[in-house]
Amino acid sequence: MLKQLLINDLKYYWFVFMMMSLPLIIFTILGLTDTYIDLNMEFINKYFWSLVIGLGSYFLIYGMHVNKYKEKHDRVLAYLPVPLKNRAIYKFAFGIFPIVSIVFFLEFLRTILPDSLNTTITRIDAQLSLLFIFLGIMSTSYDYMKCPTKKIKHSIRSASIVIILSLLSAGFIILVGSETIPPIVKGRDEIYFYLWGIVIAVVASVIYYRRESFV
Amino acid sequence: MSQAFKISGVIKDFPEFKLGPLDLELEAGTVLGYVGPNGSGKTTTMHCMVGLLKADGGKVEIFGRDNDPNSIDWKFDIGYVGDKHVFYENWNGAKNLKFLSEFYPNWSDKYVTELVERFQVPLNKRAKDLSSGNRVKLSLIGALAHSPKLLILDEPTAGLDPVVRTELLDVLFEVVESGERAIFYSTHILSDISRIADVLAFLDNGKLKLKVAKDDLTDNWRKITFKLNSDEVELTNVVNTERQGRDYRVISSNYNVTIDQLKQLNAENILETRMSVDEIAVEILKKK
Repeated sequence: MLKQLLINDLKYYWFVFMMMSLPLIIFTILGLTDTYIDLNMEFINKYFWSLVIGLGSYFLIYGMHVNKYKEKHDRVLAYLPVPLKNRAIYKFAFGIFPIVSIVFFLEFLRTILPDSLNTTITRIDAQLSLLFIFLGIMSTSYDYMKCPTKKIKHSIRSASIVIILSLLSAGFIILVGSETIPPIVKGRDEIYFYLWGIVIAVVASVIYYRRESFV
Repeated sequence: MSQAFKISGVIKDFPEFKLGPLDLELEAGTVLGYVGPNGSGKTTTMHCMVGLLKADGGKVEIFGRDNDPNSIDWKFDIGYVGDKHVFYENWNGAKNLKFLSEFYPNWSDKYVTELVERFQVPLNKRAKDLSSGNRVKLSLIGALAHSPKLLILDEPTAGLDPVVRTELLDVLFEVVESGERAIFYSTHILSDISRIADVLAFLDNGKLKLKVAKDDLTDNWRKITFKLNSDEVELTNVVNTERQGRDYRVISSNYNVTIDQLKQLNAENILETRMSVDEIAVEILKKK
C-alpha cells in the first residue's frame, strides 16, 4: 500500500521530479565534458550550481507540499482503506524521498565527476541539507495545527521547541561544526543537517499520526 | 436485520460548538435522512464516522466493527460522498477513479462504465475543470463503484440542478432496492428526503431532537384548527400553538389523541390538515 501511494505520487508529480532532475543532468553533462560556465562574477561562479540545484529543488519540493495541502490529499487518504500508521509512514517516506534521492545522486556524481567539482557538490549538499530541515519544520507546523484542539497550547509549545531546537542546532553546527564535533566523514559537516532533517521528518510523521482532523 | 452503523455517546467539542453526546443507529437496508439546519453538526457526525475527525468521546461501529483508524476492514463497507469533493485536481476523472480502484478489491469497472454513461460525466476532463455538478457525480461514482454496504452522503444534491438531482436520487433508489445496503443521507433539501428516506433523524445545535420513521411522521402529524371558548388550553402532543381570539391553530404530533382531547373540551369546527415532511421538519426544528 505504501509503495502504491509513493508510485501514485511519482506519477502525479512527474513534472516536478523531471524539473528537479534537469539541472542535475545539465550539471553532470557539463562536469563530464569539463565545461565551465563563467558568469564573470565571483560569487555567482562560486555558488551558481548550489543555488540552481539547491534552491531550485527546494522551491519545487515546497511547491509539491503546498499543492498536497491545497488539494487536501490527506483528506483523500483519510477515508480510503489505508491504516493511519501506514499513512504516517508514507508521510515520512514522501517527506524524505526527493531530497534523499538527490543526495544519493550527488554521492554517485562524486565518483564519476572530476575531483575539482567536489567542493561544488559539497556546497549543493550543504544547501540541500538546510532546506531539508526547513521543509520538515513547515510540514510539522502544518500538522500541529490539526492536532487536538483542546491541547492547542501544548501543541504550539512542542512545535516551538522542535523548531527552535532545530534552528539552534543548525546555527551551532554552522558556527563550530567539525571543530567541536568530529564529523562522521571528514569535511562532510552537512551530514549533521541531514540527520536533523530525518529527525524532524520522524517528528513530522509522529505528529501526523496524532492528528485529530484530516478535514 | 444487521446494524449498518451504531453511534454511541459520540462527542466532538469545538471552541464554539459541541456535538453530542449523540446516539444514533441505522439498520441495514434502510435510508436514514439526517436533517438539521446549517451548523447543527450533520457534517461533523459524518466526519467522525468516516475517520476525518477523531471524536472526543463515544464510539462508532460500522457493521459491528469499531471505526479504528488503524484497521481498514470497516472502510471497505463504506462509500462516502463528503461536503467537499476532493480529487487529484490535475488528473482527469478516469485517472482519479483508477487511483481509487487500486484500494478496493471489490471495485467494478463495469459498474463505473454504467454509471459514467448514465451520469454523462466527462472523464477526460481534469478534475479542476469539472463543474460542481460533475464533481458530485464523480464523487458518487467513486463511492459506489466498490459496492459499499453503507453509503454516507453529506448533502450530495446541494448545488445540483433538478435534472441531475432526480438522476442521482434514481440511482440511490436502485442501490436501496437491492435490500442489504443502507444509506445515511444528510440534507436540508427536504423534498429529496421525502422521496427516499425510511427514517428521519433531526439534529439541532449538536443534539438529536427526534428519530422517527417517515411514515409515522406523515401519518401522525397534523395541522388542526378549531374554535374554543376556554382561555387556558393544555393539549398533549401539541408542538406549536397559535391563537387569535377563539380561533386556534395547533400542530399535533399525534392528531388522534389531540382531537379526542378537543372533543372532550367541546371544541368547535375541528379541522385537521395533513402536513408535508418539509412542514413537519420545520416545526420539529423550531420547537425548543
